Amino acid sequence: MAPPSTATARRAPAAPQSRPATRRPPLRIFQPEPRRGARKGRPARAHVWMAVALVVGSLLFVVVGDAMVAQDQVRLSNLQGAIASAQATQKSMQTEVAQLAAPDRVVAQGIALGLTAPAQVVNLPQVPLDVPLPVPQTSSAPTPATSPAR
Amino acid sequence: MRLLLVAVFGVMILRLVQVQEFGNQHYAALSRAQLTQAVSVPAVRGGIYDRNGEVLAETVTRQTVVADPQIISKPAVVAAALSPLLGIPADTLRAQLTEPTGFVYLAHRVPDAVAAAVTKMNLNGINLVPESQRVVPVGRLAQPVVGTVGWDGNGTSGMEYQLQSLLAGKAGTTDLLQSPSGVALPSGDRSTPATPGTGVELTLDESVQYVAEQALAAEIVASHATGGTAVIMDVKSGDILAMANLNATPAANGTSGATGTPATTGTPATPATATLAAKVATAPNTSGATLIAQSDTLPAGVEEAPSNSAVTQVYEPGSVFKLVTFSAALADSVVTPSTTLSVPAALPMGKYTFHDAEQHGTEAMTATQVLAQSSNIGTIEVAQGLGETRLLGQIANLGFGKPTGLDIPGESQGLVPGAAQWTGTSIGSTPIGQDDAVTAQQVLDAYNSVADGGVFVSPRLIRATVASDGAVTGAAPSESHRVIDPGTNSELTTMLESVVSAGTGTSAAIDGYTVAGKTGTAQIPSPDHLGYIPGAYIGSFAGFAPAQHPVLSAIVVLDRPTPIYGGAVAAPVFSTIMSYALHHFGIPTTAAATTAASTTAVGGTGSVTVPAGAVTEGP
Repeated sequence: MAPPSTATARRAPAAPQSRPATRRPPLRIFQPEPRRGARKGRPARAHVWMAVALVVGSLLFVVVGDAMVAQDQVRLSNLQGAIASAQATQKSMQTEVAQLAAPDRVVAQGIALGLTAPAQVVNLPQVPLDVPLPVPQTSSAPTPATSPAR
Repeated sequence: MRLLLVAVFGVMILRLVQVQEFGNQHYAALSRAQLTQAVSVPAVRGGIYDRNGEVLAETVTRQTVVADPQIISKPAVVAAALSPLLGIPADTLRAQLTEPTGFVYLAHRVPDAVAAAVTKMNLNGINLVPESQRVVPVGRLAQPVVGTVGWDGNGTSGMEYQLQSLLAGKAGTTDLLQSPSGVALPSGDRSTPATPGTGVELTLDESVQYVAEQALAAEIVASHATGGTAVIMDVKSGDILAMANLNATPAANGTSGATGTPATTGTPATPATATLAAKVATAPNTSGATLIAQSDTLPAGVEEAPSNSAVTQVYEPGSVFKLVTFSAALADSVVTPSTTLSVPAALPMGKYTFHDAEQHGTEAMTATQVLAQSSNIGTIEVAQGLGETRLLGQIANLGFGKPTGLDIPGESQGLVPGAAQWTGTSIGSTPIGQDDAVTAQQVLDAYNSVADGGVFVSPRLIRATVASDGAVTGAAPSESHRVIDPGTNSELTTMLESVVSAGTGTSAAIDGYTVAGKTGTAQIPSPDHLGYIPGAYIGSFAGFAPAQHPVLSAIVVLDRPTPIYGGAVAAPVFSTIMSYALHHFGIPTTAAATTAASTTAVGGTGSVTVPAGAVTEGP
């Protein structure tokens, strides 16, 4: 550890006065005291670096975040464009279907296929289904085969 | 020196604070103004559909090809590449691409395939800009009702005009952010989205409308009429299922009626027998809408009327108006269906003498026969017993002289002279459908009242609204009120049946169904002088079916036909349209309905009901 220090010893080099010659005390080697400034300097420098790193990191984070937001905006814009395009396509197809199903086209296609309108519409008589249907009357019952044909 | 530096930096700091803290909004706005461009986003116009959701008119987005000539280095090459795609001569394109401007239109609203091909070519300076376009996929079907839009996309007639605020929606805005070099940058804020227009579902049925137009057009050609109107209506709801308004083309009719492929009067065309030009032609654009399915579906010489004549054009109704006289007379017990009247050959009244259409001596006719044979003199005798006040009351009671409630632009409420305007002969002319001017829709409303058991139902053309997300909201049902008591109505219906079964309207009969109605043949007043245009008549028929369980009512009016009689020209068209509609909606035949009713009664419910099919499968 540090040797005991005295006020005399510390003061000695600071007072070189001409005094009557006396025996100079023997020189001793003192362990240098740790400098107060050096002890305090290390944490301060770390703080500076940390602050710089924090600022740079924050800036980088902001830049990266902004880039990601911009990228998402581009993606969003593309998706909105795709939706609009799909909606436009859907509308176009809807009108195309309406065009194909228009009565004039259906009739024209029917005529082209040889369909003709009936001369008269025949209304079928209504048959109530809650009563038994009459048995069909046949002139002669079919003759059952005596032997199945092979 | 040191003090100077401090002062300079101090000023700079103060200025910085001033700019950043106090003037930031102003400078940010200046920056935005340089980098952004406000663009209006048009709202997509709502569609118009029929009662089954079939598209009658709709707005689609099409691409327009534009160019920036200032950044096109080789206009000749670009023009040569685009020319075959756009169908524009290369020289024309090259001239456009060398114009001293930064923006030129090359082709408006190109088909999707062309737009895709242009995009694929990736030509520098060639861009696509979306544009809305109104398309009409069913051609001009029901055009007077649906209407048209102008080049600015706003409605100019019909429903497009009437419902402009509903269909148009609200335009939005968006700020496009771009770099100083003009490159678009993504920007998600500062946009006000456009509010799409609301679609409208009409009460029209596309198929019935088509058949109505075809049958009417065929008769216009056959009878050389100058035009015609046909309206068919759901008795209970008042929904108008078809509203056809056609004119003979001026070139075809010259000064009188239409010409074209003649058809035999009394043998109306059906959809399949009607002559159809199957060719698909490029539609002449008379409006902002594009007829993408334009086919010349109407016979030569006939075209869609420019307006909805059924509610905008008035005419003297003639004998169909006798319904008013007899409904009031029956209600007031002036006559009964079997009351016998002595009908002379002529009836002098003031300086005029009234005749019947057919010459006859003095005859004894029942009230039913008077109506069935459409005797003018007999009807006037009934009206004289009824009196002026009661007759005028019944005219107003049945909706004449009032708006129909359809609120169609240009709708006429008719001209019904009041008691103050009556002359000495009004009691002779008014009961037989002279003096008054009415619209076809008003006449149909009156007949629909009889069909509905004496209840007047306001007609309706808008069935529902369709939001942009597809949500359908039904429109309010039509208002109704009783105008004829049930007993009188029943007698009147039987009398109207006799018109078709044994009177002037036999051509309106439909196999399998009972039909009730009335013919009308009216002179056309002269616009220049007092009196009528010689030889000019309007033939009409109004009625409903099935007579005892009415589901549908209809009117057909032909302008200046030959022959002139409504029973000869309008009644067959009524039969064709009504026959199709009855089958289309699955209305049971009268025999089937009677059987079903009797079966129901025998089955123990104790009540005879309206045929189920008429209710569940009706329009």
